[in-house]
This record gives sequence, C-alpha cells and structure tokens, in this order.
Amino acid sequence: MTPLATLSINVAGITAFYFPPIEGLLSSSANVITQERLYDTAIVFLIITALLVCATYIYLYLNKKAFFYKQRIRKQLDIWISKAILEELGEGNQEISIPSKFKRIVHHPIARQFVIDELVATKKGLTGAAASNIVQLYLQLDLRDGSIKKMDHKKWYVRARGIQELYVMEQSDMLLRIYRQTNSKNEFVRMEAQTGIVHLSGFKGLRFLDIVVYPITEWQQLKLLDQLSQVPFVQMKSLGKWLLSANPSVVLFALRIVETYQQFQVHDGVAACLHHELEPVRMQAVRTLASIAGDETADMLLEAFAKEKFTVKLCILDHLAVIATPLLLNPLYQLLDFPNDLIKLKAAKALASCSPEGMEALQKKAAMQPEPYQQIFLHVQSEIKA
Amino acid sequence: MKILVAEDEPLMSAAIVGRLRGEGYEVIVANDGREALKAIEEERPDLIITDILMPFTSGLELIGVVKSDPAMQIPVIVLSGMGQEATVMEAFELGADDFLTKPFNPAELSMRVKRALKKIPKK
Amino acid sequence: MKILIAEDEPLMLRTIELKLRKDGYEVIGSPDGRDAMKRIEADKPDMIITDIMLPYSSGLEIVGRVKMSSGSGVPVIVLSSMGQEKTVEEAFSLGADDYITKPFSLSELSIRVKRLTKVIA
Repeated sequence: MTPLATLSINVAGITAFYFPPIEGLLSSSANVITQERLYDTAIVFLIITALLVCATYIYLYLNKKAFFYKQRIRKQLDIWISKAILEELGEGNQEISIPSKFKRIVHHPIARQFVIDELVATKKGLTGAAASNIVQLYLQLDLRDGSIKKMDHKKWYVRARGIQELYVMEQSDMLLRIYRQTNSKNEFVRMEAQTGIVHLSGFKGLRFLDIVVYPITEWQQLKLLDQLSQVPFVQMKSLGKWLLSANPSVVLFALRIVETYQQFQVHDGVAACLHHELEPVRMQAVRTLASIAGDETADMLLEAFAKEKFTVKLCILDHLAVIATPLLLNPLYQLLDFPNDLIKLKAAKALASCSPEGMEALQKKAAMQPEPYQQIFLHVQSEIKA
Repeated sequence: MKILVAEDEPLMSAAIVGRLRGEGYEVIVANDGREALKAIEEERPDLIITDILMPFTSGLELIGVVKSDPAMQIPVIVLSGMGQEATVMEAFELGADDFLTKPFNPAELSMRVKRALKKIPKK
Repeated sequence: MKILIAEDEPLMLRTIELKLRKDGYEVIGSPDGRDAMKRIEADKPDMIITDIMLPYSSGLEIVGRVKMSSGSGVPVIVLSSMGQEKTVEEAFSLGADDYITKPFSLSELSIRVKRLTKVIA
C-alpha cells in the first residue's frame, strides 16, 4: 500500500472515530475499515501527536534557555566589554586583559555569536581609540577564525555575516577572499562583499566592477556612492572600461561615478553611452554628459534628440537647459515648432536659459503666434522669476 | 557667502575647498596662520574654518584675534586631529563656535558650515 | 549634572554611559524612545543625548517634546548615522543643540557634552 493510501484510510478512520456515523450507515463504513485497524491508527496518531508536543516543548525550552542565558550573560558581558573598550592602550600595554571567566563564557557558542554581534554593531558606531580596542578584543577573543569559517558555510546568510564581521573589524588581509565573493551567485553575499572591499580599500575596491556579471541593484549603487563619499578620492584608471561593460548596471554605476566626481576625461566614453541599447542607461548618460559638458556636448545631445523616443527627448531638453550655451539658440528656436506641446514648452525653457536673446526670441514668437506661444512664454517667464 | 579656509596640509585643504566651492560658496585659502590673519583683515569672510595647529600663527591665536574684536562677528569652526581634546576645549573657551575632528565626512562639513552660517534657523 | 542617553544598541549604550560616568556625570541609560520619554518626565535630566532612530518613539519626537515643554533649557544632542542629514536638519529646526555622526570617537562626545554643560552653566 502506498503511504498516501494509508494516510487517506487513516483520515477516514479518525473521522469515523470521532464522529460515529449515524445508524444504518455503520455497516457501510465497516466495509471500509475494521475496528482493530481503527484503534491501531488512532494509537499511531496519538504517538505522533505526543512526539510533536514533546518536540515543541523541547524546542521552546531550549529557546527560552538560550534567551535567559543571553539575558544573564548580556549584563555581565556588556559591563565588562564596555570597560575594555574604554581601556587606554599604549606603549607597554598592548593587550586588553581578559578575565579568565569571560574567556570561558565566550567559548559557549551562543555567547560567542552574541559577543560578535554586539562588537560588530558597536564598532560600526565608533572611531578612534574605542574602535581599535574593539578590533583588539575581537582578535584576542579568537573570534576571527569563526568569521573566516563562516565564509565557506553552505547557507548564504552565514557567509554574508562572516564577510561583514571581517570587514567591520578591518581585517584587510582577507581582502582577496572577500573580493572573490563580489560576484557571488547570491545577491546578499555579493552586496556584503562589495560593501566590504570598498570599506577596506576605498576607490581601489571598485575593481570588482571589472568582474561582476550579476546586476548591482539601485539601492546597492546608492549605498556604495555614499560609502565612497566618506573616503579620499583616488583616480580610477578603469573608468573607461566600466563604461563599456557588458553588464548594464556597471555602466549605469560608472556613469553615476563620472557625474559625482566630474570625470571630464571620459567625456567621449559617456557620449558613447547615448547609443546604449537600454533606456535607463541612455537617460543617465544624458544626465552625466550635461554635468561634464564640453564644447561638443550640446551637438551630441541634439543629435541624440533626433533619434530618441519621447521620454528621453524630454530628458535631453531638461539637460540642454542646464548646459545652455548661446550656440543652442538656433536649434532650440527651431524646436519650438515641434508638433508636441510638452516638447515645445521644454524647448522654450531651455531657450530662455541660454541667454537674454533666447528670452527675447521667445517673446517675439509669442507676439507673432499667440496660440500657443503666449501661454508658453508666460509660463517660462513666471518660472524664471521664481 | 565668503569662507576662509586656513589649513596647512594641502590635501586636506583641497578636499575642503573643493567641497565648499561645489556647494556654491566663495572660498579663500590660507596656507598658514599668518596668511589667514591677513585674509581676515582684507577680505572680511563670513565664516572661518581653521586648523588648530598651523605654522606661524596657531588656530588658537587666530580665534583669539577674531573673537576679541567686537567689530568682527565671524563664526569660527575649528579642525582638530585625534588626541587634541584639550586644545579644542581651549578653542571653545576663546569663543570658537564648532569643531570637526579629522578625518571627517564631507556631509558633516557641509552641515556644520550651514549651521554656523545660521542657514538652519535655531528654534 | 544628570545626563540621559537614549540608544537602542545595548553595548553602545553601556559604552557611552561608562565614558560619561568617567567624565564625572550622573548618567541614566534608556534603550528605547518610550522609556526615554518616561524617564525624562520622572528624572528631569539636565542634558539629553538621543539616537535619531529608536524603537517606539523616534529621537525627533524626543527633541520635539523636550523643546516644546515649558521652554525648558535642557540641551539635546542627537546621534545620527551617515546619510541622515535631512533628519538632522529636522532635529535642528526642532531645537536640537548639537549632533554627532556615527561613527564618532568618544572624545568627540566628551567635548561636545562638556561644551554644552558650559553653555548651561
């Protein structure tokens, strides 16, 4: 009999057991299942239920025990660790003295993880002497080996945690091992590793962009840019290469870096991204290009305008308004005749930002052809005043 | 808004100046205390950011000069290194308005500058 | 001089507490916003240091409440993390007196506290 069949009979048996069929139907149910069988299955079920209840109790008990254990050690440990963090280390006093009692406590796996978590969280909030003492404690309590082992664990969240522990504790010699994880199949491991190597080596850490084939999420890009803003700027030699990456998120990220750090030398590489197959990349290329505009930039954007779809066209006009050189007067004036009203309006705004002549030209156009230019003129005028 | 940056370490100075110019402030640079004093006389900046240790005239002396002259109502932000706590307290006694410990993050510099210039209204 | 510190990271809280005790202040530690509010009412601290992100009731609420209540001159220092500049500006507009960005050094904390105690004195 297949297990499934047994189960269905069991169910029937239990139903019969708890809800005795109404007279007359009894005989038909007896055909399906004998009385002994019914008792047997009931007993089996009772045992299973009892086991489940026991397991739940044991589980809850262990959990509770761990909880109270944590509560109990938390106070002791926190008091002692905070003292250690404030200890003044200097010449002749390189080591923090660790009472043997705490060494013993930290051997317990629960206490161990608890101490690491606390140290990591607190290290993130402190700099200076306190932060170096935390690292010193991490090493003296032999917590580093555990972090390294975690990097090979089969569960992704343990691996991610191991990476985080190592970089927060400034273990720069693990850079290469962390670097290998920057292209991990798992998104969270990858993110943690990328954050880690930028934490440990700043702009140089961006070399992971050479190898990463998985997407870098928007959120991760913003986080990395934020991290980079905290460290001294270092010239990136591979910027041009990243702009050509087969990974669109790398191109996007490189464009953002160019914009943030005004990397004029890759102007042409950015311009080439105006022809990228993906729209978000092209939009970002427009933004970036406007931020590092040179003499030919306006022409490049106008050329792209002619070929682009509507949304990108709007984006280009917004950024032509930023570049706004007198050279744009003529082409923008011509765009006032574009069949779409929104484009007319944006072209008018860009025109007005170019020079006072632009504004005059717009005013003249409005006088000649009030419908719709009078409205547009008034709108642009009010915006410029504001 | 005109800001005087007095800092003798070129890299640090460049980083600060770059950030502030990027935010649209007019920035005057002084490489030592003597230059800074001259710039204060001639340019009357709206804010002074000064390193605490500088050749010729120290940051403390600078604060002393600025704050002892009632005609000059210029806020001063002091830049200090780690382990210069006592000096920073002295700077406050002399009337310094705020301080930043190096290395600091650029966003914090912006925030403290903005605040010293009273761009964020208090209460 | 009684200082209340509201910070949800237990070890961080302990460390700050200990540092300020060493500096000679009386210190009250509080792990969340709700508890902090209660303690502010009950213990009347002379200065408050609060993290911006707290469980139950945010640091901003604490700043607001303290600064609204009967024109109290109790100074407030806000602890923030990088990228929370907007929130810090909000805290200032509510009347916060100073702020410290994590990661910070304990000596910076000491100086900022000491400076504010001079302001009240």
